[in-house]
Amino acid sequence: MEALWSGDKVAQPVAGDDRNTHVAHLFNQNYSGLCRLAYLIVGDRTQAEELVMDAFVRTLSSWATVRDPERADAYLRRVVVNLCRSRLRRRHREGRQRNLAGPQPDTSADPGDDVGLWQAVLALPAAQRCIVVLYYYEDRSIAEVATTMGCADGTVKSQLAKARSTLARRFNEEGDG
Amino acid sequence: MTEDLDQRLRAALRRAADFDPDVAAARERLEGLRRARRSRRIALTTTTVVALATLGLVIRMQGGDTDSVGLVAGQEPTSTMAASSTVPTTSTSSAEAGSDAAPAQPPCGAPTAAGMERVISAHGVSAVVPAGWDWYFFEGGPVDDGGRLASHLHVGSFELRKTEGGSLGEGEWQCMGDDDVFVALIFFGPDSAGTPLFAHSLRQELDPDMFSPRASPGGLPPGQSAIQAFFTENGRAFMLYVVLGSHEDRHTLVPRVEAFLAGITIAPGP
Repeated sequence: MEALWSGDKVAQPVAGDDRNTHVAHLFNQNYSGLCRLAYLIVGDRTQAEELVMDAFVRTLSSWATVRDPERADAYLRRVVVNLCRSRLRRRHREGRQRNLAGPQPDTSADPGDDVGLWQAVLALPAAQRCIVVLYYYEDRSIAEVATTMGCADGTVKSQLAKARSTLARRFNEEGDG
Repeated sequence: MTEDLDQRLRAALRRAADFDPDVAAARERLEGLRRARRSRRIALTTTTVVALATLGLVIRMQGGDTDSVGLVAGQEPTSTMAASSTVPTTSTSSAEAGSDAAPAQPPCGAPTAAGMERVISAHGVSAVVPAGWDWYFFEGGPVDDGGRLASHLHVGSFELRKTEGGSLGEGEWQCMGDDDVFVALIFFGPDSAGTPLFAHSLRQELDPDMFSPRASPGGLPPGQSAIQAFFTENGRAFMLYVVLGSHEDRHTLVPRVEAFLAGITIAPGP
């Protein structure tokens, strides 16, 4: 697994100007894409932008320990996905406690059209949702998705198969209907 | 059919994500946050010992007994302490004198005070506690002194119960949420400093994948994980024990811990 932090290697501190240049470059290159990625996972644009900003702030604050700045975009993506998953978990927990929930998928939408299909993706469990978005939207390989999710390749494959099966069922049901 | 679904999925997701975020506004916001961080760092590095006290560095002594233990907490302050001083061993207010019992334990989930970032210091260890985090210092003895509970500093992103259940913070973990982190710094005696076990530095990075749900002898609550590290800093030996509220989120929680650890300074031992 890719590790930017390591127990046995100490990163060389990056000078402040270098850090700012790197982060500015990272921001320009990745901000919009990460917002779209987060939006597809959490289903709310404001929350998505807030999560991506949080990811940049965290990256900025821990930049001194980033071992390979050239791979910082992969690290950022991982932070964003993890923040999205945390947000979904919290939303789920709070929803259970208060009998409320955040933005909910529209289950009445027609899964045969694009909007309905995305709504069906939003109805998937959080981990499957992240995997589907990374695999289909970002066109990441299984190995890349596994790295981003912090799990094994086999887990990604099995979760992807389950997600496909769920989506196909809805897709077929609509087709039959 | 499967290929059709795959294609439809790709198209649906691309269409749903077809929007342009306000990059300029976000860049401005990030720059503002960066400037705020830099100002705070400069302010901290120029802060003197006297200024630390005036900034609101506060302590609360627990227990009137002068021999063994004292608890210095981050809430409900009653007196100020100079950064370079050692923790006083007598109570400083009549309200606290004679109070041998541990502070009342709030139930898990009590809201953490938002507050401000605080600079704390005890026994030559200073730390910047982020806003909303809680802390306390327990004054016992060095671990290798035997007999007494070890001196330790506990810091958490949630409201600590301030139990005296152990130097690793066993009484606190049940209160942690998924997004929380807990840090315990346990003081060892001078004999341990520089020995092979304590050969590392506090500045060493933490590898999220080194955290383990089995890193506690008594077991961690489900979903949590921890790491234990020994280090020597300025000739003083410590054990660092970090607990993450969610092992699954270790890659996002560890940077929070590292950001906190980066603000710790340890003065040379006597």
